[in-house]
Amino acid sequence: MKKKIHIPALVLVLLAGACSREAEIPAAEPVTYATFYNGSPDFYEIPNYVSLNNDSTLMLSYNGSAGGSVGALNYAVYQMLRPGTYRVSFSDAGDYKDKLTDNLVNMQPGKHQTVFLADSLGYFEAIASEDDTPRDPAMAQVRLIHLSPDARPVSMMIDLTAVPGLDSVKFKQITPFAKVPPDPNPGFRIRYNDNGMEKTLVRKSFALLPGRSYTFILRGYVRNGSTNPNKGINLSALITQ
Amino acid sequence: MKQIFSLSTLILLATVSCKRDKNETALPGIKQPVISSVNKDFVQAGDTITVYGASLQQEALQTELALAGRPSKIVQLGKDSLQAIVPVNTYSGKLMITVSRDNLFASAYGPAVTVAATPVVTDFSPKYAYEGDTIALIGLNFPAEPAQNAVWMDEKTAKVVYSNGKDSLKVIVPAGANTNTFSWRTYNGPVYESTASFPVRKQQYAAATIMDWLRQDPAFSYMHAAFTHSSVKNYMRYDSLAAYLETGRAVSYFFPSNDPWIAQGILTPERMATAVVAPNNYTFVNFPLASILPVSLSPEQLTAGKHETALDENIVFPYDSWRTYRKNYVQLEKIGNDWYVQALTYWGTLGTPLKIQRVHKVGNSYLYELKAPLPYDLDY
Repeated sequence: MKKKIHIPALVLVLLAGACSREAEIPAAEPVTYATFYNGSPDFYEIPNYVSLNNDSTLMLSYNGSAGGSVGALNYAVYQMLRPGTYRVSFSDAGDYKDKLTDNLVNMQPGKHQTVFLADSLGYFEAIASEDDTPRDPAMAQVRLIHLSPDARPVSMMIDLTAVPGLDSVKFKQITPFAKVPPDPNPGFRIRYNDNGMEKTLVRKSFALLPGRSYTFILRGYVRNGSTNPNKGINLSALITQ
Repeated sequence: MKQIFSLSTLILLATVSCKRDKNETALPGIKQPVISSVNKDFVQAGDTITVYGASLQQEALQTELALAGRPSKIVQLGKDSLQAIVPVNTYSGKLMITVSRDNLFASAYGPAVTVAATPVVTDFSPKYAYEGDTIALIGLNFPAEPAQNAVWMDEKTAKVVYSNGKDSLKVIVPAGANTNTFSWRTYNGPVYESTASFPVRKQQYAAATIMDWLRQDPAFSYMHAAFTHSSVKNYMRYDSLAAYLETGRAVSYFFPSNDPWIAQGILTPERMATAVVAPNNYTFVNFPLASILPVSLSPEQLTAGKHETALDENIVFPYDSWRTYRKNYVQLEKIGNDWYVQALTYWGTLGTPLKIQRVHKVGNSYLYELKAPLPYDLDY
């Protein structure tokens, strides 16, 4: 006797199996990369929290990033996350649920991004940057984020050369990357215009290597109301690639 | 043919079924909230704002509202509306509603809202005033339209007569106001109150002596600082002058109010009560001492020329002989309708003539308020 095969039933069984196999053997998932930076001087040595989707993920004090306190120059340390839209919140000290900021940040697969906490005397704001730029093996790349609330618009010079695109940068502004020649001992100067006279606000020096990108962070108060000199104007840099 | 059709349908159904499963696991039990409108698009920090929409409140879920990324306190919550307080220190920006459970959430943006900056009062000028006087409040974030600013002094409405649209308001001290804190608000925002009181002068105080008056009138709060140096070297200070003015004798006393000292930067309001100044602390010439006439002269009784001072009454230096041959006088001079007073010493006139700007009748004495600080040479 010839057995009759019921084709629709067979298809259903196969498809059901396909669904469950897909769940059992996860494909390589795309990831996104994020780091965070606390630019609020009031959090000097006082940690606050960064939470993603209401989960506290990181404690940061002033001038801190995921890799720890940022000195003159540090590598950016990124967390790997599943791509998607995240609620990114900076909290006050003590309780990660006591949010100072609450924003949605869309993190795309394969992208690197930094979320900065800016503060102007309690006016807190989270600012997200995209950190990817096409790598140039022969050139270094620099950009500037202005997080000093009482500093005037500033420009950046390397030695005596203005960096194109890094001029008249205002508080909370992030410039695009600019290509500059590598230099073993450059002098980075943040300049401002004081009634027609160009003056230097702050300067730093460290080697600029080819193929890397640098995010300079202008931070702290020009007129530091506290007795803590660490809250005064300063310049840090993160190597973001 | 029929079999092929059935097969296609089954594949399609199975595919859709798989996709639906994935969506449901992303946000199980969370409906997408919607903000449809807001009751006002211009607010002040501290204002209450009403947001309308759908699925704003969902069972067992937390609802949060942020304005320009700053969390706002929700004070009333319903499915289709909520009320929240605009947080302080907030920029203008979009509203964002979020409903969440643990780390699952659904968010939606709403319309942009303009936030007026929080008004701040940091100072006032002058440092005291009579009711009806116009004073300036110094601060930040005052709207340009006077009507959008409201000020109360001693809980009485102070009429706003001018705003420069940023850091200065001019208001009239209301009738009946006493020295007390003042408060303000802009637009329909919350009311802020000063920590310091604004000193309101009175036309008359219950004072039997000059000292009683000086203690009560805020325009003379620096007298302690001046009197501390009002006596001469090696003699008791402060008490000599204060005691004399305390006696209730009929005198005419010429003395500046605080403002001239402040105007010339000699004293700051903060140091009025504690600073020590040395107005012309000459051995034999001291204006605060030498400007007491031991007679009660009304403004109508003032006469030009030199007048003997109370220093000749053995009050301050009872055992000193200097007063017999190094006398000090008060020199009065009328220029136009104004009287000026100047110390006339053994060595001649001291400093410049000081204008009398106001006179107070105190018991049977007169207190003449000067519009310039005392001569201020520091030593002899």
